[in-house]
Amino acid sequence: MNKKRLLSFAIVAFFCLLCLGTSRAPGPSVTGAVGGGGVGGGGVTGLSSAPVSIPHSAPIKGRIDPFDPKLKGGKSHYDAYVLTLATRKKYRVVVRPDDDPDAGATDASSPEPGPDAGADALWFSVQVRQGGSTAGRPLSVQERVHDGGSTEATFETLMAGPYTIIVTVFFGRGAAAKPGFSTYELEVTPSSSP
Amino acid sequence: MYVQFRAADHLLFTWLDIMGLSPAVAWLRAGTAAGLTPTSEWLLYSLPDGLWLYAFAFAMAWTWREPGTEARCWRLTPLALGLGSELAQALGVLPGTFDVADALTYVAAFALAKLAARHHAGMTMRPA
Repeated sequence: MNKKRLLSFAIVAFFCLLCLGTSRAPGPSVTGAVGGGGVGGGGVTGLSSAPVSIPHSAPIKGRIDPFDPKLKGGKSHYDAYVLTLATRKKYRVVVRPDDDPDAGATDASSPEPGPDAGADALWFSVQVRQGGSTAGRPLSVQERVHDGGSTEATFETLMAGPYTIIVTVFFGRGAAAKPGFSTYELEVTPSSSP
Repeated sequence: MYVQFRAADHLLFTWLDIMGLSPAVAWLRAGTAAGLTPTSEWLLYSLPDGLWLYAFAFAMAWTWREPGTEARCWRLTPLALGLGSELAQALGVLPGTFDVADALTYVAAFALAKLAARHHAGMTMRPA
């Protein structure tokens, strides 16, 4: 192999490395399924409606129909909300299920979504995308699942404008028989800590 | 642009951290005035991609100045990789978001790099 080819391979490798460096690090920051695919062979049931514009000063109530025949175990459902946020600010998103004890116990703290989750498992995920649609650029979201059943995530905005918050709920195998809850609460507030 | 304006979850930040440059990165990011934050998505997301392809294409065009099939293939490699990565993102093979603006920026950057290499080399490059 002559020197010129070697140099060319080195150039290609260098620029591929640069490209790799500007790709996102793997991790649990962005999870869930948007716009298709689903989890574990299931499918996303789709938006119940177009993204909803909401103020972020007060918590909003999201609702999942527990009698929707499409919401079987191993499937997921998502809702999207559009907010106008300020530039370069950290925000905290909390998704809090309103447990209904009469409808059956839930386990929102299950670490694994999809059909491998516990029989009654319901599992939340939060995605944040720049812009007013679910097709916007995904932002890094640091997500935590709490034992109490709520999911908390933080993210940082880069510029002022609309952001889309996508709440995905994964249903475990046994979830269809007794969905366990019908509403959740979404709260987006400025956060002082990352 | 990545260090100052983009989210800190890119691998680049991990590498800079390993090199002990995190304090410098933090200083740079903290020192960015809010008014200097690019308000255009193209400036923030597409321009860095275009600059990457421009440098890549210029390097290849400079290395392979002579005519011929092999030289043409090498010169086309940056554009093929850039557009290929966008296509792979559209198909879901690579992580990321397909963006027409990125693809158009790649093409423009490639054309500019060809012109610049031709100008600097003082030669007439045959179309790739």
